[in-house]
Amino acid sequence: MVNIRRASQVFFLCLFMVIFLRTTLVGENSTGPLATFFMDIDPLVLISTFLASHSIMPGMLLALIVIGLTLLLGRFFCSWVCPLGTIFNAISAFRGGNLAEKIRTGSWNRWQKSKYLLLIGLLVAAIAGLQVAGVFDPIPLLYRTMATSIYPAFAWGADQLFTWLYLADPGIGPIRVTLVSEPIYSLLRAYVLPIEPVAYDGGVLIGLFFVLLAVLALIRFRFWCRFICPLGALLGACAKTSRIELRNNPEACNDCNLCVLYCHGGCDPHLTGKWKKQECSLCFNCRHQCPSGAISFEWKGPGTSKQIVPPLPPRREKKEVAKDNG
Amino acid sequence: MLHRLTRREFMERSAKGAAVVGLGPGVLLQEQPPKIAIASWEDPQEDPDAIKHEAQRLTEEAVKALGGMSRFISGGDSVFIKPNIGWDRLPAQAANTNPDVVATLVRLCFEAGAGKVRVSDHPCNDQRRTFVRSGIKKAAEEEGAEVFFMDRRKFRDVTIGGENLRSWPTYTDYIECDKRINVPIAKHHSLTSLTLTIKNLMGILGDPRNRLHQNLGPAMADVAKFVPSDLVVLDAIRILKANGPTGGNLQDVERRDILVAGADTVAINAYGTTLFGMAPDSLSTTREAARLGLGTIDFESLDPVRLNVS
Amino acid sequence: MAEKRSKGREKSKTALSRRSFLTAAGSGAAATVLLNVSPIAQGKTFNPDLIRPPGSLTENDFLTKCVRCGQCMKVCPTNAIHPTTLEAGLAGIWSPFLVMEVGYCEYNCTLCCQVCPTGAIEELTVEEKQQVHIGTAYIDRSRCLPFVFDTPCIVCEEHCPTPKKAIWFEDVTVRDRDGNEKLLKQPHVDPELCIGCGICVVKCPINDPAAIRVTSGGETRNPANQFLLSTSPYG
Repeated sequence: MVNIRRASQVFFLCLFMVIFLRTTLVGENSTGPLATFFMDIDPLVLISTFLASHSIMPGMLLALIVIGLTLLLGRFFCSWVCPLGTIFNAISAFRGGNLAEKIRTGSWNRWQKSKYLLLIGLLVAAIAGLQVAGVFDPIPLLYRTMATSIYPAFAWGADQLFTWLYLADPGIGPIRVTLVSEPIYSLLRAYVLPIEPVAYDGGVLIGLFFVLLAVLALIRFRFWCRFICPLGALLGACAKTSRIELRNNPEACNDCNLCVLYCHGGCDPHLTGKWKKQECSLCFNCRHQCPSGAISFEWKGPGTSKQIVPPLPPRREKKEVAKDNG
Repeated sequence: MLHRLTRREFMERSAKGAAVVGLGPGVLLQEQPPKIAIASWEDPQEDPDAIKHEAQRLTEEAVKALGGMSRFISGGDSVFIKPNIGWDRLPAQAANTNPDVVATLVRLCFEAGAGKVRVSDHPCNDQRRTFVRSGIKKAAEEEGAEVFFMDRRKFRDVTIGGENLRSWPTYTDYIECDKRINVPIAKHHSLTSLTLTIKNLMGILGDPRNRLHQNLGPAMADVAKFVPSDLVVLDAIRILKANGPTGGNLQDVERRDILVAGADTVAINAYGTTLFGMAPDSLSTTREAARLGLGTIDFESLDPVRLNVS
Repeated sequence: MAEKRSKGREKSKTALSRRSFLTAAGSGAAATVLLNVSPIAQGKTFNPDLIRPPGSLTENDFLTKCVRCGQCMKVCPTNAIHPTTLEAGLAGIWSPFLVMEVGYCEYNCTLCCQVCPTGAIEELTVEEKQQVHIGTAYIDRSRCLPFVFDTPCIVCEEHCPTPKKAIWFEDVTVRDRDGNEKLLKQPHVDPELCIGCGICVVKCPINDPAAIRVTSGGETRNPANQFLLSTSPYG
């Protein structure tokens, strides 16, 4: 499961980047049909725009599919689709702290409720006609940061580098760096770089905002996703009706807390019976990491429950990584 | 004088004969091949395919009348064709060079043995749009040309050494290629009155070229002297009579169905000026270029070959 | 072996208290009210620098739809569209506006209209877009070369894309420093034709700042931000 989930993350992140790069003028006055795909599937864009303006664009109805799947399956979007989530995932892998700290901060924190409060504030403001959800919505946030900050910075850097290499022409005898750098530059110019370097005054502030969030991700695993993201909050609220439940078998569990260490959403997979469904983003890391095969996932129908993701077989060495401090 | 008159009579007679037979007078023995050919289309049509055919035939015949492209291009040459691809306009709006004229020139270059034919311009509007909407990218690529966007890094300060322009950022590829073909379209222009062959060279200059307007005629003449063209082809199939050089209104476009080719950029400029009902020496670019010795304003004195093409 | 059975109370750990719920809701409402205190938000004045992309709705409607995604900023071929910081007020932060010193609005392009996901920038055909005024150009006669330095230029008119150019010339005879007569073309903007695209600003050889600038006055999307009799409701 974990590998499928990772593949899904990579796929959607790559799709996001490809759509981003291709949203540009090629020659004729049209963009491809996928240009607005990620905004279209974003439920917060749909809901806040509708509340504020009482109208929507037809493409935005795709978000209803995401809402529907979330009501049924849970908050999968955050760990399977969201490109910003994937990026913070990667950044958080480098977070500091020793093992005990990471386990302590990996557990559910009551401040994770603040994203719901932010969501409520944004939705009330939308009803009153102030549409600022986009400032905190992860998809617009990532796109706007890429467009006004990361991409221009990359383009400028690449341009400076390849221009210097072209003009300075370093090398020894017939072996010149430009033999390698020029083809690379041509490839970049054809598929990645803008036609001219672009610059956005407001991009500095937008970039700094993103840097702040990246720093937070280095302090806590997926800080944004757990504490701030209003889309995560919206999907978490929808996830309450989900039929999928995590089951932690207390007889098998050895309190190693590896599940907490790798948990994406901060949903307390180690606390039998106290797992927080609306914080779980179905990353399946807990099941994957559990050495004793204590974690499984069930589909809870009316009256019945069926195991849909069975636990992994226990691994031979039982690790006692650290005790939970409660 | 007598010698020249005799030659003119001879030319006129043989030109008439040549038009019927469809051969250029250059074939019928000369001491020197003609310096300027003016090709007119006999039966202009509105149909786009007919205009395409007209553009191709006019270009072929005009170049043939000069003695064929092999008079200008040698085997293995790297050729740079510089059309006007400056504006985000369709061919019918007469702001850019006719794409089929450009494509035919590409073909003729390859037929004459050119090793490489490259087509480019430094446009005023977004180059991705101008190259596509002018139709030039597609038409030239179909004939095998390398159509490319100019590389910013290749605009280098070049010592032009002119009386008015000492140095300017210029596209180095245009200077370093073997042969240069300048193929503009005839248009109205507020500052120079018209933009014809000499002003077309703006497209090989880098920024801040928007300052050149403060002394445009003399500056462009200096550039024309620094990078002389091996062949100049003036597209007057459609001319832009007002609101140039951008145009946009089809009512400002007039069909003249003429193509002029030759090596004397001044003479072609002078002739092109007359198409707008103005005296041949009206433009400051023409006068300055003539003063620098780039050619003669009195184009009739070059015994232009006039062809009716069908 | 873990022994952490749940009781009913644990579930409420994640639930929001009523107080926090109301505080959040109240903050949202309060923020809306507070941010509407500025004169611009109330339509009392117009920011001349707030030039929105063609097809944009009137300001209040625009801000109910714009999700600050930045797609228009990415797609604009001339790098004309930028995120605001305070130009649209704090409530409009990071919404798009055009900065003519950097880029201009291509005459035949409607890409920003096509990529807006929420319709804050309405999708227009090219013909419709060419009729939309996003602002008006003003020549600064204290900086424009033919006016202040008796030097020929005409670059603004040269690039003006409207089929009948929105910049025209008055032929003027001046005397230079040596007393010789000089014929100059001095440019004038025709505000009825000018669509505010800004190519004149980008191409103007004067840079600090350009001798021609575009302001939002006359923008088609805002019937209140007009100044000509001909575009007035009663004109």
